Amino acid sequence: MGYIGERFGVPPEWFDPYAVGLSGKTYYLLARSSHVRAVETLRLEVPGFPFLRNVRGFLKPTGSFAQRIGKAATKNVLEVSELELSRLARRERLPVNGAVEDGYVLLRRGSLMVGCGLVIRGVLIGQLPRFIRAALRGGAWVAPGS
Amino acid sequence: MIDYRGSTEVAGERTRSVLSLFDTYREFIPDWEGFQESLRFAPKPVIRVNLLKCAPDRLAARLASRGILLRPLAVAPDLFEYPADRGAGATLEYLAGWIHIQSLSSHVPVWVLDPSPDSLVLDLCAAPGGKTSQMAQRMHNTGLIVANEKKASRLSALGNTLTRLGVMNTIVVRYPGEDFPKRLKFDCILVDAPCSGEGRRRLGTEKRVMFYREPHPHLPELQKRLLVRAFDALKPGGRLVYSTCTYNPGENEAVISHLMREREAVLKPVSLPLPHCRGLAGYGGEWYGDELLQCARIYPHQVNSVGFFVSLVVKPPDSP
Repeated sequence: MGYIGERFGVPPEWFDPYAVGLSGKTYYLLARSSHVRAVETLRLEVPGFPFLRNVRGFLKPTGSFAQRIGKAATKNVLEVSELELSRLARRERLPVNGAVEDGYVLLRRGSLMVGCGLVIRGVLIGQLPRFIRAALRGGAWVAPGS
Repeated sequence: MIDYRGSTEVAGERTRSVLSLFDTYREFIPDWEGFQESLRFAPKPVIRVNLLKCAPDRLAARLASRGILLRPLAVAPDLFEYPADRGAGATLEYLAGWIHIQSLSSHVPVWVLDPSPDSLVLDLCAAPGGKTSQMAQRMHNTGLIVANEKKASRLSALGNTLTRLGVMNTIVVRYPGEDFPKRLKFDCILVDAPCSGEGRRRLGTEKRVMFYREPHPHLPELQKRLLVRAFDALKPGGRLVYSTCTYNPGENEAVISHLMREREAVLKPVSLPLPHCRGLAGYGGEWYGDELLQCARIYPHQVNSVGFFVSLVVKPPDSP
């Protein structure tokens, strides 16, 4: 949680309603509940909401988590145009225009948090979820200015 | 199996086939001509606003700025009719989990189950996750939902739906529903059972058959086993909804009737904000019982949506 707070400015209390679990290389959030103990004996396929993945030693927020935290993120958030989103979906690399540090960033289009990107020495590489990339490449689209 | 074959010859054959498919149900489906006519058209697209991520007015304003006008549905504040020519699944709002596309009548089982916040809920046949996410929304992402899906091939669709919609009170497991572990007891259970899908059979706008699924003779047996096992996993006083998207009484009332014979289950009346018909007390020479009248049958021509069957079962508080 310290990493998320430090990197994206998400206040620690945002995580208060959730317990954190680790399965393989993925960290999960699950709403705190008195029922959790009751289901401990089940064989779990997915133990909650995937929010961080360990990628070669670095913690990468999932696209769904980026969408979930929304306005709670105050740092390392990049506003992108639809054209830029389309280019990221095609795996193109873009120069960065915002004041962001190297590392993972959150991508926002207007009031809507879209997913994640990775900034390395001023270049943005898209890390959008696969289904979003496919939809954007397929012309799944909205009008300019949305 | 979904059949999207579209040649003229096949389409003509299938048109006759679908229109005559339900002749044996003529005795209990009201306004037969209206029903048959409704099979010629796809239902109007309906979206549910995901209240876990955004408010309906915010979504409506955002879409309106692009000329997409939502029409509110009186039955629920989070449901809207979406323009058929604008492809709701091809918007950033969909991809970001602000909306979910789900037929109007398939929202009904969760309305009837009405799981409370903080409760322990089992969704026995959960994929692709529309109803699971609807329950999470109703529970404000609190409590715990166990989403069970037997088929490994459907787990990814289930997981994608839950993560896209920001569901955070759900774990996913994979057991054969009919053998779900008995040791756990739940406050609420949804059995939206695998079925022959007759309620989805339509002729698409291009006269192609949509959602044609071959009859499966073993379904009623499976449905009975699912329902009995689910009932056994209920806490005393717990609520269970059994639903299908089919008209076949053998997959609906006969399954409930089987449970009533096998267990001390109490059937409760289903009350809905939609036009619907009562369940059947008997069919084809088989008597199910007057209590089956408390179930609900939803027909496409009455709601411009998918046909559905919904029943509500309660386990008595003094049950072991």
